Amino acid sequence: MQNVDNMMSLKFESRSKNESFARQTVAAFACQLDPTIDELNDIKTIVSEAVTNAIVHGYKDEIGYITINVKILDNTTLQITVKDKGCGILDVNKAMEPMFTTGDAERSGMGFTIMESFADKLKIRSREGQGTIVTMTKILSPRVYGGK
Amino acid sequence: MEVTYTINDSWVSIYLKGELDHHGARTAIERVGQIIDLNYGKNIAMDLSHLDFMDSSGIAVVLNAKKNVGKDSFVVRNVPTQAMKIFRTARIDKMIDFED
Repeated sequence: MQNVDNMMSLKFESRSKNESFARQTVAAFACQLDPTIDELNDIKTIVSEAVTNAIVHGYKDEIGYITINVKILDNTTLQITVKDKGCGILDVNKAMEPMFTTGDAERSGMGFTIMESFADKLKIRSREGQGTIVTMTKILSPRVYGGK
Repeated sequence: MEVTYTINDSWVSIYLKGELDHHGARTAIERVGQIIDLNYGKNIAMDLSHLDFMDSSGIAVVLNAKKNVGKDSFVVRNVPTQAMKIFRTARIDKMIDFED
């Protein structure tokens, strides 16, 4: 069992203007772990992808709430869950295939591929008509304090 | 997201500035498309040096631009590290010419 050192929750409406707010806020919370610029960029990217999915696919024709929970585990690991109560994903395996999208021409179908590649662990739980929970784990490289 | 451009002989440079995510993607795609149409027959360089953040929405913006350019030359320049990681992950670097 991993030790929870800190946590926060964020709840906001599924409006695309909140994508920037969501990734910036999670990144600001992650800063207490002193991440590298690259790690911080990875965190912003995976949050942006998961939130975009909830807005574009989960709440396709409606505005609903998106909840993000972030836990800091063992002082090194960030566990981010992005939850919506939208329409759910019919076939999670299909949705995770590169280039698969049910969205418009402005979507690339690469969201899950990028989340999978930028996070250390990705878990998706979805039920049709009930919503989707995306859990992403990012392990930060150990910081060296003291010394010179 | 701010889209501007400059013309230098047969090349048009299109600059994307700020954060490129799903929220700004449609406007960016349309604006870039207009600039390419206005400069029909010229070569297009998309310059990303002023991009502060990009998620997978950037892939659609670049691929749409390449499609609009058609048979003229199309390159993507000065891609920040974070954005390049996305293009590589999506294997877009095999389909688009990137240069520093």
